[in-house]
Amino acid sequence: MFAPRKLLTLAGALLSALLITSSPAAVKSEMQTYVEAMQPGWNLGNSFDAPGSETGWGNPVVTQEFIQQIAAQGFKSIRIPVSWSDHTGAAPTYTVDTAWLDRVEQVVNWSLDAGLHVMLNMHHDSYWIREMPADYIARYTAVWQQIAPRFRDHPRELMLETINEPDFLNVDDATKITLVNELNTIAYDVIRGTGGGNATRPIVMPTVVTNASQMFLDGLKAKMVELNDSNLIATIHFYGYWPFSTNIAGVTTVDASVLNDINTSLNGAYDTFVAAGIPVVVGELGLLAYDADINAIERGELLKFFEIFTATAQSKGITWQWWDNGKFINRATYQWRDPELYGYLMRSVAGRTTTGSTDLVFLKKGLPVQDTVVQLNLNGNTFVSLKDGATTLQSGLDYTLSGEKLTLKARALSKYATGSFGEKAVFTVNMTSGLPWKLHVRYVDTPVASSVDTETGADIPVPLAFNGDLLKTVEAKYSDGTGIEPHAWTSFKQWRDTYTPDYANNQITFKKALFDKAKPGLLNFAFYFWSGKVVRYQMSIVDRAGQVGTELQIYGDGLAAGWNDWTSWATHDLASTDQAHSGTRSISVTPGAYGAVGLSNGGAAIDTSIYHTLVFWIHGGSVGGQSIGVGAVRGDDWSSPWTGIPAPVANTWQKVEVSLRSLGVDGSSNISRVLFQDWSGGDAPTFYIDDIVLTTAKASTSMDVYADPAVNMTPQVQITKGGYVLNRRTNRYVQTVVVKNTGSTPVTGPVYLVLDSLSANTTLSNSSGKTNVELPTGSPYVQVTSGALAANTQVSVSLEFTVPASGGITYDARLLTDGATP
Amino acid sequence: MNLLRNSTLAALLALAATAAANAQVTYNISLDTSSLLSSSSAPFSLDFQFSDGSGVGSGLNWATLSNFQFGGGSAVGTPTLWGDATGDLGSTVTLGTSDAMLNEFYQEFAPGTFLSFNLTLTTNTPWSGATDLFSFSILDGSLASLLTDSPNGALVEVSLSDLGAATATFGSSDNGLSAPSITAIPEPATYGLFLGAGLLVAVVVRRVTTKRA
Repeated sequence: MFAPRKLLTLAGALLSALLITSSPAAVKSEMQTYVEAMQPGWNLGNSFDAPGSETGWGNPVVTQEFIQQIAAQGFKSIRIPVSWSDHTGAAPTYTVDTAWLDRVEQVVNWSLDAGLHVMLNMHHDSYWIREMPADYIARYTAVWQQIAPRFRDHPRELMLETINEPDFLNVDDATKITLVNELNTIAYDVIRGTGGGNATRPIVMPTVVTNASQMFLDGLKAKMVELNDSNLIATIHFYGYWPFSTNIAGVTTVDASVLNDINTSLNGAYDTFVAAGIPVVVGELGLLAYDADINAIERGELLKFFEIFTATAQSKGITWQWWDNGKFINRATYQWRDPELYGYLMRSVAGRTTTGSTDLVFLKKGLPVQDTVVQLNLNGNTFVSLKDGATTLQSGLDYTLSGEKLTLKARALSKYATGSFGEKAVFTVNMTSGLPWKLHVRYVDTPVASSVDTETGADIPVPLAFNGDLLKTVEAKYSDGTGIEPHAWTSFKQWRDTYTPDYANNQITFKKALFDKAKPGLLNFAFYFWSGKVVRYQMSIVDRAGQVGTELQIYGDGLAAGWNDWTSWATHDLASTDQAHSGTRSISVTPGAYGAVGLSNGGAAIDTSIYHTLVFWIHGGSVGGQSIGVGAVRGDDWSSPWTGIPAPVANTWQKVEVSLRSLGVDGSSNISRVLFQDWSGGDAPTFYIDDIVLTTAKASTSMDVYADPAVNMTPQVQITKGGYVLNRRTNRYVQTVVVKNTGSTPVTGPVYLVLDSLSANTTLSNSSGKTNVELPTGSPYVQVTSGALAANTQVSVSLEFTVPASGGITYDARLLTDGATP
Repeated sequence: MNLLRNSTLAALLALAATAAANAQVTYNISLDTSSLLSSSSAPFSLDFQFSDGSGVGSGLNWATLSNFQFGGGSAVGTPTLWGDATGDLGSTVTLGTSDAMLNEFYQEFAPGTFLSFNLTLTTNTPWSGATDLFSFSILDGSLASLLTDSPNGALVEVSLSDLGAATATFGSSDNGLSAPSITAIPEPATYGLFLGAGLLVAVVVRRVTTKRA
């Protein structure tokens, strides 16, 4: 099957073994050649590393045809992450399930037969190892003692990775290095000790958490030099600068911090290892947020990021392996869900691709179409043509190109500033080499958010007409200037974990997590869009403490009239006298796995629409700690979500309030059942429930949310900007802005004029300060008037700007009125 | 013949359309400059700026300055031009608004007892409620504008907005200049141009009709 190649590669390995590990990069080692032949690589993620079985995380059974497709798509290496812990027996032998080992070997063999280099590893076992149970060394050693012999005589194209992303909890970094090197050494000794092909088989060793900080690189290198073995490969993982990778803290572009992160990581890996003769594989490459949401990182920025990373890695002889958890290659059709990204990745091996300062061109409703400049990054390629779809545009008329400065003329864009909003055309910048850089021409208007009255405790969808624009990031801050959890250290919240735009349905959903630790008060939002528009929004969060409601009793000292026992899979007693919160009786429940107590309304129909909260008391029995979920049913409709409740405490009665909104039945006129279910999945100790009611009061565990477009932008105030005049006494550009109250009632002062998104080429020299409370913060402002602005009156304010070295002065004007504090 | 007739009609209609699109106002601006004769701040320059309120260089309006009279003084040297500016003080100065930030003309002059010139401004409505602004300043020997109460350092400002043209004048405290006078000079009204063009059209149509008969 692979014997001829095995002989050849074995000979090569023996030759390379004569080389010194720390040979200079100028003399390319056999192992460096081996690693470069692995470029580009791909991860069979979330299959054999999944819990239980290879389909444990939803991916299909791996087939030989699929593996062959990976090779056919141009990948040269495959990393097969395997978690062994679910297939390992008890101490002292820790026997690995033979069927599992057989199945892994089958996929390894398919990969080798497909011509791929194969990296096999021990993957999520690092999760239990980092806890450092007493037997972790014995167990780790025993598993490797079973993996290594199985692959002893496999071709040299198979390499073994000691452990994935190793970490240890509650120890300092120096100790982590020592402990990770101990794991590396154990696996190394076991593999080499089996002899045969394993005597010279490439062994891949990670840094601590496969992190590229210099301390961890140095720690691993010290171990590798000590081992003095020419068949070692160092590995790190790379998911980019974390704020960019997750779209948090307002890092949305490939800025200096993102570039610095790429360069620092790859330079460190090169200088530490490659230059010393030790090849490096980036065993996992990706962007964290992109895994889950294709919109989380703007397309052009994403393509630029990977173009730069892959080009830099290629120039340093560093091989990368794309992390694919099943989201990228459709494992049923074998097609890339993002073929454009696939194109960029594969192209990187052959040479560089031209990119641009942006891939978005916005035409704004109500403004004249202007020439638009895109700064190209030619990356060594030569311009060929600019096309609008299939039409080649005319140089000089439709565009000009001066060096790397591409100017799209208004002539080529104007026809798209009409009709519906959204993407109107795709221009392509075609080059002599590499992929064309796409420019997406979008016609947009200012997005408009609408009001919502709701409550915390669940996701909050907010209507938001995007009008063709694309969301960039969201800022949220209390009116006193403090941040909101999670990640209160930054006012720019994390995409997906705290908010997600829904372009198809014109709404933005704020996640429950954003409000889990919310406090009462005024929360200011700023929605930033790629067109440059900023939409302000506010949420007033109101505590409900002290609310008293009207109650509908379901269980008091027994079931209320009309309510029946509808229990299944749980031993229970509706008249238990073991415990009682009030009266003498309660409901005792001793459930099996997922057993439930259900109470149904079998009497006359009750209009439940006025109730907002299910309230009951729970007692943890003598043990406590049960895992319990609560649900409600509308008529015969079981589709409503359930919710978990805090674990009951032993020998203690506790009040539980469950918002009917969180159960999906708020406002429902026909709640027919309430249920209490074991969520532990096993036999649970007895607990007790008493005094179950529905109440019109809202749960004090949630808070009311009244969300509106920012009210400080008083619509009755009109702003008129004047032209710029250069005052040759002060050497400042002066602009007069007229603020007029067009309404019939006064506007409460003081009134401030805020300049958002002021162009970077100037500063407001007569600024009164910068916004610190009202989002977006950091914008300069001036006071227009300290008092009220009477109806139908106007006041002028002069803005003085430093003279820009080049370009015009631009900003978005915002008024703060009604006593708002900048 | 038809070609001639059509060309003539088209030209006349274009004239009428131009008259509608290019409504304009003309002012005479004059000021007593005798206080500058003995000033130690010399030499002085006349400075004109025309700024585009849209901030993008819309080029919708332009200003023409003519009929300069220096009251015994004179224009000196050559002008300095920025952006959409042409001409010199010896004849006519034209400023447009096609540069987003700075359309400026300044040239040294030797003051006499007075200064007088005409300013003609087109009054096309800037879009999106923006205001185009013409300003006139006098610069001292260090090319700093004389101190006035205008934040722009101007002696005269004319703003063009949806509401039409509005003027403002300022004196200079540090050189004893009184605020200039600015007087509108009557111009043929737009409907007058329409009427004239309409009469010409009527004459042509009548002549063609007569010949056909």
